[in-house]
This record gives sequence, structure tokens and C-alpha cells, in this order.
Amino acid sequence: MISQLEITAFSPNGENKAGMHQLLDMLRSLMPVLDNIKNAVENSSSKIPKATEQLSTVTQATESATMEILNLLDDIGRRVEHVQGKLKEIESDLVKKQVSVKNLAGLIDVLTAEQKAQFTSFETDWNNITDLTLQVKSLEELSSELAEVHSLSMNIAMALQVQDITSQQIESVRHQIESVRAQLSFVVGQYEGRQVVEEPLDAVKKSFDADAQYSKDESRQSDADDIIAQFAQINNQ
Amino acid sequence: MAIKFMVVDDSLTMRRIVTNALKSIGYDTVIEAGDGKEAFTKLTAEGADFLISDWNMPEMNGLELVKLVRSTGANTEMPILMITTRGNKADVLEAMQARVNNYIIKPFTPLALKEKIDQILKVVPIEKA
Repeated sequence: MISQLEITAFSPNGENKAGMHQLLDMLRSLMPVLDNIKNAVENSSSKIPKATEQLSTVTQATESATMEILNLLDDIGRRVEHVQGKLKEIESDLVKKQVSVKNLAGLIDVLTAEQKAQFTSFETDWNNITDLTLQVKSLEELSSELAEVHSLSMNIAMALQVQDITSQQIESVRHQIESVRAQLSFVVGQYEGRQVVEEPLDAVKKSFDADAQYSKDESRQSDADDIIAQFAQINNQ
Repeated sequence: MAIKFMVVDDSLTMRRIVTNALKSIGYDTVIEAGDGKEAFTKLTAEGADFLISDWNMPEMNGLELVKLVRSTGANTEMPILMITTRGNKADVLEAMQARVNNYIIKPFTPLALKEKIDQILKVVPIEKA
């Protein structure tokens, strides 16, 4: 449309005045549209600080929750270790008692026939109750289960690395949103004919890896290990 | 005497996880810092035998810290392990050129941490270890 107006406005047959009027009319009609766009941009820009603030709140909340989970896992770990210690004590105590009974059995010759019979009965009962092999095996099984609980707790703790990785992803999004806001402010400033000097939202600039990813794919570590090995080889030469 | 580790990461979560992982593999003496600047200050004041650092941090990032440690002060030859999300080959290359001893990409396991520490200690033995 503009090119057609330009042709009309600057045509050599003297019709340029009418064309200029048409152009000005069109520009005037555009002003409210541009004002609306400016208002919409300003309105959108004003919402960005709130959005970025909310993203920060998400990071803080996940970090706080992660700390609580880590505290609980530490507590579980401590309790598991405590129970493991107690089991060892019980095992040791059982062995000591078994030795005592054997020592007592060594004194059986000095007993009367009736006492011998009583002692033999007691020893049989004791051995039935405290079958050392069976007891120790049970204790070992319990200990093994507890070690597995400990290991699973550790796995949960390690999986919480996801909090750091997602917080870097969120920070990356925050950074992009902030860039958009700066650009929009610049455009609005230009439209209003003023110079825009934007202050960053955060007093402390945060650092992040925009490509951070929570992945158990070992190929990246394997590639890194190859480079490390090459460096080691060069250094050894 | 125990090896004294310094764990540097701006993420409280990661510092806790790395410290816990170190304890799970038998290393109980750990001090922490939230960025490279704080780490270098603590390293100078308190000393440490082994540095484990993240890369992306405010104030002074991990790579800048490694370069500073390698060029200044009494810890120029200390073992350095980088644990970071940065997994591009170019990043690893840059870190190795800055003379980190080894490199782990997050997320890591305690086993991977132990393997890397063992590999480093074979090459850079710590006298009191």
C-alpha cells in the first residue's frame, strides 16, 4: 500500500499533494494502533519482574525442600547405623554366652547325677533357643537388609542433584525472559523518544549452564574420560 | 591423617550432596565455599589438600578459580576435580587445559566420585594420605 502511495505522491503529473494527504491520514490512523501496541508491550513488560520473581521462588522452594529431604535421609542413615551397631552387639553377646555355656559344660564332671541331668536339660534348651548358626544368619540377613536401606537412601540423596540441574534450567529461562523485557523496554523507550537505561533485576548476577541436563546417559562422561586420557598420555610422553 | 577436601559450589544442595558422598566413601574432613572467590580466600587462610569445584558460579567461576589456584599461592599443585553440568567436549578440553586433574559431569554417583579421586591420588599423591 505504501509503495502505491509513494508512487501517487511523487508522480510527475502534480497529484503529489493528494497522495501526501492520503499518507498522513494513514499515519494518523496508525497512531492509536501504535499506542495500543505500546501499552500492550508496557503492560506485558511490567508483568515480567513478577514472573521472574516467581521462578526464583520456585528455585528457593525446591532447594528448601531438598534440604529437608537430605536432613531426613541423614537421619535415616544415622538410625540405620545405630541399629547395625546394636545388631553387632547382639551377635557378639550371643557368641560370648555360647562360650560361657561351653565353659560351664566343662565343669559337668564335678556335678551330681541329678545336677548333671538338670544341666544337660538346660544346655539343650539353651542351644535350641540360641542356635548360634541360625541366630547369626538371621542377624546377617537383617544387617544386609539395613545396608540395602542405607544404599537406597544414598541413591535418593544422589538423585536430588536434579534440584541443582533444574534450578540452572530455571535460571536460564529467567535470563531469557529478562532479555525479552530489556528489548521491549528499549523499543518502548525509542517510541517515546527517551533513552532507556535498564537496571538488572538481580543485584547479584547468577551463573548457570543453559544446557544443564539431568541424564543418566554415560556417553558424555565417557567422551570426557577419553579427553582426560588423551591429556594424561600427552603428559606422560 | 585425613585428607582435607574443599567443596566449592554455589548450590547448597550440591555442596551437601558432594560432602555426603565424600563421607560415604570414607572422607570425613570437608570444608565448603559458595563461589571461587570465597574458596580462594578460605584456601589461603585454612588450606586444603584436595579441591572439588563446580564450574558455573557467581563472583568467580570454577575455571577462574582453577587458573588462580594453579598460578598463585601455596596450592599450585593441589589435586583438583571439577564436577559440573557442562558436558561439551570443548568445556572438558578447556578445563583440562586449565590443569584440572579430572572431570565429572553431573549427575554423578559416589562410585564415580571414588574412582576419580583414586585416579587422581595415584598421580598426585598427598603426603599425609
